[in-house]
Amino acid sequence: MVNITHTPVLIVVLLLSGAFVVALLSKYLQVGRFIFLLTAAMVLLLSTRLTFMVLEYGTIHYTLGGWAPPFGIEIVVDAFAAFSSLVIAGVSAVIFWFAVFGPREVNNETGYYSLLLLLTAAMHGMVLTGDLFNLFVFVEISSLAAIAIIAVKGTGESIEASFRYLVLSALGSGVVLFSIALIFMISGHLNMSYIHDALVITAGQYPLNIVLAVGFMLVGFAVKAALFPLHVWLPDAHSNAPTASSALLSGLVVKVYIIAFMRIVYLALGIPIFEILPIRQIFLVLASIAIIMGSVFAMVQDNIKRMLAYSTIAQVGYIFLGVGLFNQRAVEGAVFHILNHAIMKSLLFLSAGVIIHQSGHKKISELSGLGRRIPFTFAAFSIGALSMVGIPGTAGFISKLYLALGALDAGQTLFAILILISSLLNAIYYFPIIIAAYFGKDSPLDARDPAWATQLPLVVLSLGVLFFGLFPSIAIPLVRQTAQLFIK
Amino acid sequence: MAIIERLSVNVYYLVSVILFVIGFHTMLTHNNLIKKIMGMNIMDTALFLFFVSIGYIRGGQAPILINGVEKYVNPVPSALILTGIVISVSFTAFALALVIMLYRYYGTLDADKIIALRGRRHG
Repeated sequence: MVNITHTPVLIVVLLLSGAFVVALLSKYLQVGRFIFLLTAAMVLLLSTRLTFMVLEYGTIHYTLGGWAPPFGIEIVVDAFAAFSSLVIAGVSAVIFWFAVFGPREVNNETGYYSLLLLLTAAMHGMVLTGDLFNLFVFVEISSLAAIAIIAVKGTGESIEASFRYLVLSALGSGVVLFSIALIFMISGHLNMSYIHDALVITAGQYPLNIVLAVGFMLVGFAVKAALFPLHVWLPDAHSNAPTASSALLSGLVVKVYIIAFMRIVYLALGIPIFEILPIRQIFLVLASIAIIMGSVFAMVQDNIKRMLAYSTIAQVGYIFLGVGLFNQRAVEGAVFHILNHAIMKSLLFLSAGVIIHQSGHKKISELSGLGRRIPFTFAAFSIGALSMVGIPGTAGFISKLYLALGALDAGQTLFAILILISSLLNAIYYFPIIIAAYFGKDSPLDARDPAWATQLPLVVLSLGVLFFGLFPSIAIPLVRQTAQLFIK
Repeated sequence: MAIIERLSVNVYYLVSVILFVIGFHTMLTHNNLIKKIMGMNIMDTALFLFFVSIGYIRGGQAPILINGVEKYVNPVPSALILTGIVISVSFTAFALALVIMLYRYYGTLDADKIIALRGRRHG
């Protein structure tokens, strides 16, 4: 291949170098902010270009430094990688805007921007790479940066939450590395497609290695993606972070680990692993519990950000459910939900952050009547909440519809009913907030909507929710190709 | 006898798994934050030992081409573990920084006491 294009690696390189430059600009704050936003915008352009390239030419293989695999690191951009990269670039650009123009919550601003860029670089790297150890390095960078963007808030609670996240995250990374070692042991490669070819021959001879490796991998990524019994770190971490961090963590970071796991499954381990080991059954059971318990926990919360954090646990359950059901429409639903949840959860967290900042209250019981004082922000919150419940016309409806259809295709009516019940549960904890805000007794507070620059991200995300609810066909080609990577 | 022989061949694997379990256990069960970090380091070291011993070949030489040497140790795991050590060091440094800040806020290194204090302060 002569006419090689460097777009895949440029995304990561740009973000990494942006992180270093921005960190140095603490004396020139305006320049730092400008470079920060410029980097995000350029990455969004590159991701869009990459997506069009993948749609036109199919999977792109890029070798770093021109070293051919298996020796060099390879970047494999298939439909799933392009889709994930585009979602990450788009949603993170909007959140970055909010980090710059939203309420001030951190002291060292440029340091914070640098961490956000590092985290985004690691996320892009994780979804693009085709090398197992490279993936591990990106997992570690993203864990460390994710912990750091919680701790930057500097309150006792946020540091305590980030330390707990650090301990569990380190355990997760440890077992993932163990799993990589076990796979390397019997395959002798780190490049995922070479691992796949080697495992076809050796997996039968060393079943114990495979079972342990897959088990460790599952546990490691489930901790980081907050699958139900391993979610304990999430509510504190996501609710005590600065607003922009919460949106980024809940909207993108947890899902990137699911994407990474799915990529390892179809690139390295091979889809037959689903038939050999009961991964799907584990996913189905844990995801069902997550969907119900996440909503039940969310219902009893009075802190609005904690409620949103518990709701994330339930929503992560949907994605695992789609993967567990494992047919065309269910996987399409899961992949689509990665996009939809990224948009709507960021919208909810950002608008909740604005509401908390403008009113000074973070308890749901104290928000009564505020919808008339801060109508615009509450309208954005309401759109996000309606989408969470799955009202037709919003993005949340489409992914739930696909998941339910997938459940019916699989002959598992139970899961379709589960999705319906969970929608009702979502309504139980989202609607009272909206109803109290608009029709509750008047609030004595003199709160008002923030400046237009703060509201812009909310507008963009609200329009995104409505757009993907009304015209889902735009995203369908990529989503369909992604699902076909699994179901051949 | 066969078991002992198998163990002696795989002694590195055995030791690293034991170390891994010690680290894992320390990290999850100890209340002292510094001990948690020590557990994390023991666990990481165990993994490094495991990874490096995958590449080790009994009687193998360092992988530098010399005439007459047939057996070389696989250098890839060692190279990877260099990266692993860097990651582990940065995790440790960051965790220790967090512990310092936690100590400033709560005046203790005991995880349970911190949770109790937090509950009292924030109701």
